[in-house]
Amino acid sequence: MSLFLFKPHIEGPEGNITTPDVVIDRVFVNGVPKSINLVNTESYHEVDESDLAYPAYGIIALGGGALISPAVIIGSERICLSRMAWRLNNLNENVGAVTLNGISLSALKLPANLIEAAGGVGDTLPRGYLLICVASETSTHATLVDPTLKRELRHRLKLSLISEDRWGGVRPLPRYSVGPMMKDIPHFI
Amino acid sequence: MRYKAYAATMQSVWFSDDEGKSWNRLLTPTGGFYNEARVWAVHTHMDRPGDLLAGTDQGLYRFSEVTGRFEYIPSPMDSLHILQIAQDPHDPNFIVCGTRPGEIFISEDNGENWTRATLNASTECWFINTSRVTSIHFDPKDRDTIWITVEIDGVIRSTDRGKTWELIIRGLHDNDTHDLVFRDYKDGRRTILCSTEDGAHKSIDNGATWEQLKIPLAKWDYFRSLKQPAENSDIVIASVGDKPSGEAGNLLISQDFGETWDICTMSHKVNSTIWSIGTNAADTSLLFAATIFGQIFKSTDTGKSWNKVDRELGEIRMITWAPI
Repeated sequence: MSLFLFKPHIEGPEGNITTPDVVIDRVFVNGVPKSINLVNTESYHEVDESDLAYPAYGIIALGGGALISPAVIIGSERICLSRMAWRLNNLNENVGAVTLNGISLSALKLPANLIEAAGGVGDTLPRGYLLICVASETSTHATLVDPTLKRELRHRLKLSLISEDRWGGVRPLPRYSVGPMMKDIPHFI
Repeated sequence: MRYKAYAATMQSVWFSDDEGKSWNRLLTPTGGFYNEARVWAVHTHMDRPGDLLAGTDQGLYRFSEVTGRFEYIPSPMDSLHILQIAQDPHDPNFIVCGTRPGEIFISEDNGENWTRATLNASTECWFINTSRVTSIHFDPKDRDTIWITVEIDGVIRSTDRGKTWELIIRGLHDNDTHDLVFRDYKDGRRTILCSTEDGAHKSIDNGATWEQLKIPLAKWDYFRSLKQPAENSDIVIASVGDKPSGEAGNLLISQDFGETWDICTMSHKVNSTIWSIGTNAADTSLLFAATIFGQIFKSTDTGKSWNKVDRELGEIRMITWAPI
């Protein structure tokens, strides 16, 4: 019953941006099914010092044609998807020229191959699917570059250590604030 | 002067480019932004004509006259309600956002990176349960000082550009605070006015203590928006309503920074509390005001009289205007 509500900003070839909300309920990372609860679109993450981040791209099933978005995988678990996306059908024959952090998608795995392996055809894949292809180089950002249309999508994570506390050693207690201080008031707690 | 007026509503941002006569939203298929998103804040900066920042329930967005659409700005605030936005008057890259729950987020690089301030606002509060930031102000004299109001918590001030904060509520009859205005006199004296659920308050010691103003003309206690048409002006306009959201309201105007008040002339019955007043230094005689239930009023005489525009919108949370 779990799902992830993806709220992408899809940039068209002429600069238009469409914003459909998409329910994703099935995710595969390099072909392996993962929990949908691992997917997020947050830019800010807490990590262990030992956690590594890997650039990736995601293919998302959608009615007007599948989407491609940059993503970053933290460790072997967290799937951090950008809210910025293109439609695959705007890339068509040029998709092999698209790069992820400078690596040609054809040198990784082409979207069509991912889709085919997931039971889809062309830019159509089963409803609710998110397919992730992960690169092996480590990076906290993933940048897709489309040299044909001279555009790029970037997902840059800002990482902080779990061991760090932004309050330092003086984290305060939670406060309850009373409203009208000069009146007798009913409290509802 | 060509200008646009902007209204933040519970159905996206509405734009008027004909002096408030007609209002339109961007098209969802091309506007970069869902047309039924809830928007609480719209903000412009005089050094960035044509740009508009919008605080929503989907994240932070920037509209540009160049592209004619909104761009999403990644931030840690996507899951929060972004209720207030301010930019340093001297540096538009320094952005401060206030949210519900009551938190402050700061970017020093035009939204590229964000820091969550160590603001210790109340985590739970009377009546509305969750605290929220109701206004953000850069101190007119000290660039390092930022003031905010939080309902329900009080006036909170930072003197180090948002790194640390102190709650200053001594003397407030009510810490359901909404807005602030500042008057700095040539002899060094300063007066600050603060609007609250229980009237307007005044501080003459830079916020250390507050005193409730006696304003017999005010029909109700609920003071919401406070605005000066020009920075450091003696003129203050205050919105007063029967309650939030309310069924009635009006505007008061003071020519002597809160010492005496008059009731502004409104062309039509006001249908709820006036939630927001929009000013711009480019023309201090031109102001817009919006009730929370959709009426828009316009003044061209520095707030003395207000005419309702024909168009009404849904729930309006903020209104502003800027030259383009």
